[in-house]
Amino acid sequence: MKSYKNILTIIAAGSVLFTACKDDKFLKEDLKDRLSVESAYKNKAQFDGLSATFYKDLQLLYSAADGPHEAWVLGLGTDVCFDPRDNSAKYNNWGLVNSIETYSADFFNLQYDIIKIANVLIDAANKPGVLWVNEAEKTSTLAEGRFFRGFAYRNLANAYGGVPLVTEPVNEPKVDYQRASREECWTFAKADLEYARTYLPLLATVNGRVARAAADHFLAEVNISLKDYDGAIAAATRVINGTDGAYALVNARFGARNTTAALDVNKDYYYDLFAMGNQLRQTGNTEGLLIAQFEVGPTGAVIPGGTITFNRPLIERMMWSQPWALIKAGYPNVASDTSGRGVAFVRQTNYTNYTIWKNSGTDIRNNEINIKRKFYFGPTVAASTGFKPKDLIPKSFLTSRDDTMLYVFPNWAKFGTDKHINAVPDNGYVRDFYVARLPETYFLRAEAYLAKGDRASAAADLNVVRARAKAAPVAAGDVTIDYILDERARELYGEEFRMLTLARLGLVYDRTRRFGYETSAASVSANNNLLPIPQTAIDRNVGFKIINNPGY
Amino acid sequence: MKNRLIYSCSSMLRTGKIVLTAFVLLLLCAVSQVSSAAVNHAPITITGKVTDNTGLALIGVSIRSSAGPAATTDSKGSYTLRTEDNATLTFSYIGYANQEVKVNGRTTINVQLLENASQLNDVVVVGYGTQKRKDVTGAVTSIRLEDSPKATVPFVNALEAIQGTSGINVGPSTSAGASPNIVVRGQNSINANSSPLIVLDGVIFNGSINEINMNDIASYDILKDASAAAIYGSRSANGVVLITTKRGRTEKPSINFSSYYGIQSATRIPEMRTGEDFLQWRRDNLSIRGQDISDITKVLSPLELKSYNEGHYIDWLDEVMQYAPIQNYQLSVSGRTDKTNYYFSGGLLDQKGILYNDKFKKPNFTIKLENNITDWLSFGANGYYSSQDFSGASPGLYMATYSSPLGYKYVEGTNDQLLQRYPSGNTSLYNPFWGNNTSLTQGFYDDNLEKSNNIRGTGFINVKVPFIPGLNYRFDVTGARKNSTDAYFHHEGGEVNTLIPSDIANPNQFLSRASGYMATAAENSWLINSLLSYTRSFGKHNIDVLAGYTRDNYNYQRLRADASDFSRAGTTELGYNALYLGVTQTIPVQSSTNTIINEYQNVGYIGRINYNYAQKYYATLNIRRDGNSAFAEDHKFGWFPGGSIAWAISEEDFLKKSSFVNYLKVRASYGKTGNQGINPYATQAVSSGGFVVFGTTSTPYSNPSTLANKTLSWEKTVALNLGVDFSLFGERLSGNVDVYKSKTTDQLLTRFVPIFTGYNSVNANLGEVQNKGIELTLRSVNMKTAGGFTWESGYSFWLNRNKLVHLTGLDVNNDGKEDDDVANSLFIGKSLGANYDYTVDGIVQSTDTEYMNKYRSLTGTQIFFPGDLKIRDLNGDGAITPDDRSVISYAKENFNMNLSNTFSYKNFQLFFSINGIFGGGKNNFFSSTNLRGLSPNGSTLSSANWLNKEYWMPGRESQTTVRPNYNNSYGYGFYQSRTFARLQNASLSYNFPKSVLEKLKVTNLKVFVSGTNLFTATGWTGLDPANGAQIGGNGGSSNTSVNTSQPLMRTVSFGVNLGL
Repeated sequence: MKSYKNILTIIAAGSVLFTACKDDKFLKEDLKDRLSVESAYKNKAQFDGLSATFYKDLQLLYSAADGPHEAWVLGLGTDVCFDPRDNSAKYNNWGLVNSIETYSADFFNLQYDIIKIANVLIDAANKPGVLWVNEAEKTSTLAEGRFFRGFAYRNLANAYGGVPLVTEPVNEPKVDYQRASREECWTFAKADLEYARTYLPLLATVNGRVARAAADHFLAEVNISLKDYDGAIAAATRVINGTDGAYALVNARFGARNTTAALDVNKDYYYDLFAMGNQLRQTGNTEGLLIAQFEVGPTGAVIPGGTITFNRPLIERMMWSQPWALIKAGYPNVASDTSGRGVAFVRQTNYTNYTIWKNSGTDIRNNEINIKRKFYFGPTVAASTGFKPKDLIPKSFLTSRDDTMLYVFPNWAKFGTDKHINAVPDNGYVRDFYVARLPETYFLRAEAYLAKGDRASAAADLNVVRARAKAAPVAAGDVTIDYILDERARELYGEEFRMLTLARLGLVYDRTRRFGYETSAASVSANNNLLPIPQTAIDRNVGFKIINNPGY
Repeated sequence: MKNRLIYSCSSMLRTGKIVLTAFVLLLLCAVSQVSSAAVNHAPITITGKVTDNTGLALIGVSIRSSAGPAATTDSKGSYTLRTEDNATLTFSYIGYANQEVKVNGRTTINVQLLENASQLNDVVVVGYGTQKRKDVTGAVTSIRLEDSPKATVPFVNALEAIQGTSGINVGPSTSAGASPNIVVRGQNSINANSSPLIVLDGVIFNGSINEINMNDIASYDILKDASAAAIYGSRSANGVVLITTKRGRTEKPSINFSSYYGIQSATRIPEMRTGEDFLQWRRDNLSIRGQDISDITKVLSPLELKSYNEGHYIDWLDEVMQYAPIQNYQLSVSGRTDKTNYYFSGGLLDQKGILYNDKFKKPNFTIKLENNITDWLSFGANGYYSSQDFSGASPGLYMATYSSPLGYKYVEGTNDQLLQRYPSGNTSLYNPFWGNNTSLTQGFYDDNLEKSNNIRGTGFINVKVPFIPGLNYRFDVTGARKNSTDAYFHHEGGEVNTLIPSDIANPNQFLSRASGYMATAAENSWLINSLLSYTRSFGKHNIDVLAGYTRDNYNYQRLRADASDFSRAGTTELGYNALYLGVTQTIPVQSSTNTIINEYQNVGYIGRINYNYAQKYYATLNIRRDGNSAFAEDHKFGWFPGGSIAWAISEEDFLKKSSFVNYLKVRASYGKTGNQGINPYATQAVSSGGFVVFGTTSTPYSNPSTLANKTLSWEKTVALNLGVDFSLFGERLSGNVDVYKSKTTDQLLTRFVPIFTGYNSVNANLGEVQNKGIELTLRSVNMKTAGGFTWESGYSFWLNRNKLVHLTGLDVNNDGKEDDDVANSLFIGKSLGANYDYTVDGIVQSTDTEYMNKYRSLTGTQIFFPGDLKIRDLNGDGAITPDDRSVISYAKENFNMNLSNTFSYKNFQLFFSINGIFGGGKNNFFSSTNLRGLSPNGSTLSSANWLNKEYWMPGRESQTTVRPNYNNSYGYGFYQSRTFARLQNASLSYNFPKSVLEKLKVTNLKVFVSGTNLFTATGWTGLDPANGAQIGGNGGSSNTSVNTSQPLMRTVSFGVNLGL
């Protein structure tokens, strides 16, 4: 009988022990290795971590994918550049630009990532319970969020026209977004940029973070789009006249390359603008307004967050020709430090290489330092060619299409270097990239003056930039929108978001038709003035049918 | 140590071969010595006890002596019989196999009878208990592995052995030690986990399936219908696979040794271009892009040209594959006494994959012990240990398929010591052995470590409550721990560009780019079951009641440390073991592969009543209430009821005497099951991040990475099953037919959301999916001759149809029907796995001017060119737009079939099974995208190689394949049918006869030759159709639409089983 009691005790204990302990408590889920969104943003340092994501997204513009991908926003298939590897490639054939085209879609999607982060930031920063040491800490944090949100909507409205305006954090899935008008998007961007230009610091305490001038720069452009030319002039003027901080066009050697070393001594200050390590304010650069930052260690070691794809920005690889592979000229088919490892995914159009430089005279932007047009025979050139090593490669030697499309075409110094990190040509060009640079502010103001009919002021602004380049001044009577676009190409090719500039002006079709690569010029159509909304965005928005831009 | 073990094992194998030869000779002698001795013997009295294999006394067993007398066992299973001392006794009992025992002068003969081959009396493991096969009312499929012909097939993984069972689709496993995926009765869930629940020896198994030792497995029982599975509640919607390991079976300790040695090779190897075919391909590929091919130096790189002039071609696929043996050794000791049942085993599996350096090693131990302390109290413990080693990286198959056959594997003049990083001189085509550090594959200069060990133990007590007969209480606790370490190191040598002599001369210059990491992870889990059961018969009423409570907890924790830049250390020879030497050391931010903590908990309440009347009328009711921590607050609990009824018609008087019908039962069941297949924390919005740089300073960033769903809960499946079990013609033909229909609601769906949200997807409970299907299993004894020849067949057929009934409920286009969700590829009224794409009418030919002129851009620019896909303007609006897409095929199969045959003649047994998965039909089932196999531009590089098949070129216009530079601007998927039939398993075994065994003093000895995946018939272009793997398998490309699974392996093995 005693054993029965024991059994009962065991059963009772077994069932009591494990049911008495509360199920609810046992099943409570406890997140231990991450913060929930509700608890993640409670002080300045945490907001800095959130806003740091904006800069990751900027990096993605220059290092997201191989091939001509990064050239899209820089104007792939328009008047300035094209894909030399395949005549039937998209943007060489604008007929292939459709709603599943990925370059355009990736740019579109990236903007909404920026908008998401900005909306979360703006919402969380205004919540009670955040530890702000002072009001300025809060407003400058908000200003950074609003700058990037305004920047993203400007990017979207310029390229795609009206897009859905998402202005609040998204906490549950919404599938019935509707397109706002293009003006509404620009107006929304304007409000954000106005706030940003009021509350951003003149100089960020952390190197590379956005400061006030960038907000005014983009505000100027958005104002032009909204036909508020006085507002545009005012905003640009605040950048130019020092109200927004000590910005000025560089006109003397500075930074890493002004030594007496043989390779460096013959360079000039325009070259210095694009040398590795020279883009941030603390290096003496007074032109950079918004900068995408990259970094590797001095011997090529990876710095966490310093790079994305292939441990470098992909611009040199994409933009430079590949003379090192021109075997018939005696090159070993191995890239060297001085020649870099260009792969010619993108080539300038004849317009960019030649047309805009006609009669350029003393313009330093077109000297051999800044645009390398001369290439020389390699060390093992065959005697049968009749040339010796280091002889200039004449045009007559470049006989096939590939010779001039892939192997030898002008290399713009701003995309590469002759001194790679650790002398490694394929991974050793890691520099920061200008999203916006001061000359563009002058061009924006010139554009606003021109729109108001004040050609003299427009010419004056253009001539500030031209004078710095030691180019002859333009006469007021010659200033047209075409001239400004030409000057933009001379100064900003491969930097400005050409695709956005042309789309904003409604000139993608016109300029491509007139100056683009032959297949691009033949295939572009008027509807290409706006790019397509990505099909995934349309398909996923199951609660409302979004109508794409005409022709897609 | 490793080598010694292999040596001793293989020498054992060699001994086996010698012994085999000796046995054959002995056999011949033995046969000739058979003679009958006619000597008179005195009668003796024999006593003994007859039990079944679980030790239960068998009452009423008839015992007949060859000399005449007979007896039956009493209520304790005992008998007494007086007969000659040289007689032979025959024990027979319904449902059990007859057994003959020679008296040989003994006065005590205890016998254990084994259940009959007829499956009706097999014990079936159901959730939290067992039942006899004929008492089962749900759709339960049992597969006995122990003693079956399949036991000799070289399965590596516990799930491979159940392939060919109706209703169960087992995917292939492709690399050494890999685990297949498995789906029971079609896909219920759109996104959530669709793997069945695995239960090992009665305890829910959370680990990796390859921790279970194949050789220990006695049987599988698969709960397919909702009623049977509902006892496992929230985790049972995808079916439940119960795995039972071996136990001691005889009083005499049984020592078993088994081993096999096999050779593996790829089932299918794509034929790439070589020789002049390759040169033609390269020329075409360049010229069609408008590039200059006027001179061979413009077509080939200098290294390629040199190689071409020397006639030197590399077969890269052959280079990256290796001789791939598999060896398995297993030693077990088992037995039983009145009080104790024990089973100990130890084994070693050593497998090489077919790709160079792919290897896997797994030693394992199992201990099972059960002891009866008194007649009412017993306890036991099971312990399982295994360790696994996957270390070592394999060359990329991607580069092996796309590399130019021209070039050099090694740098010239290094005596084949230094690999050439870019064999053809093209830096986009790296040596497959070298790997590619910046992207996806590891190589010669990379170290890879991947090791784990697992220990799992269950302890239980069983109490038979004496004052209430039939009341039983069981309490068990299981604990498991898995420790794993993985590490990676990229040495400076991997950065050398072997085309540059100064790089080769001084690899140390790249020390700053060496990097590595090491991570350790610990997985701890525990589970308790507290079960009270009551089994009793009242006259013809039999009842069996179960009530229980269960609770489990799982915890996973991983810590990873990274280091890079070893320039200051001056060396990397210590690799990942000395990460502290790196200049930069970091602990990466939280992500699913880095530093992580994951936890979840479950609680469950279980109840079940089984009732039958005279084993004719059956009813079962069960219910489970489950709670899971991963679901949202207030949505954590769910109810899962189930019920079934059955009628054994053959037990009715009107059929009992039928010689035609031996057994016939009809069943019906209905139940609700759940799927909790989401990861923990899915209901929370979390922040995650990485690093970015300001100036030169690394800074962590963090942002909201997931969209929370605060109401996320179970996915529920309600299913109806109707079934018939039958056995006909004196048990010559038996089988089951089941039809079922299920409805799954509140789908746990990872749903793509508009990019405007800033998020890609969200976890949702949404929509409804219906499955219906039919399953047929037949077993027949086709031939059984007096001469000892038997031929048995098994046939199974299963077909499942899937339909999405509801999704969002939105009707934006106002057509009165719910809208499809194109972005998620979900279509109302259609099957899951829909391929939504353009309709293609072959290839645009140069003569198709009407087509090319009709579809132009708005400015009249030509869009379609000869050699393009000819896309159909489905809606006839005069333009090719996304609106011309439609559902053109499905990834789901049409139906499955399996046919197995076993031929036995005397001591020989031949077994083989043929498996087929069929597609086609009007819906184009079982189609998969095959971008690389069907589009020559699938590899994107004009310098890459491709398949040796036709493609479109001017003047050689193909009707089937696009031009080499077709840029696929419509993103077409290039679909192909994966239908295949395969000689899946085969085995030929020989059991040595008793006379030989007696001379050798062993109880059994069997030798066998067997194989898996022996022959495949298919039209698929690429690797294996079973996994839809394309050429360029195992990665190497960022194209996520490409199935880059590895090749499947064919195995042929030779083995031996020896029992003492």
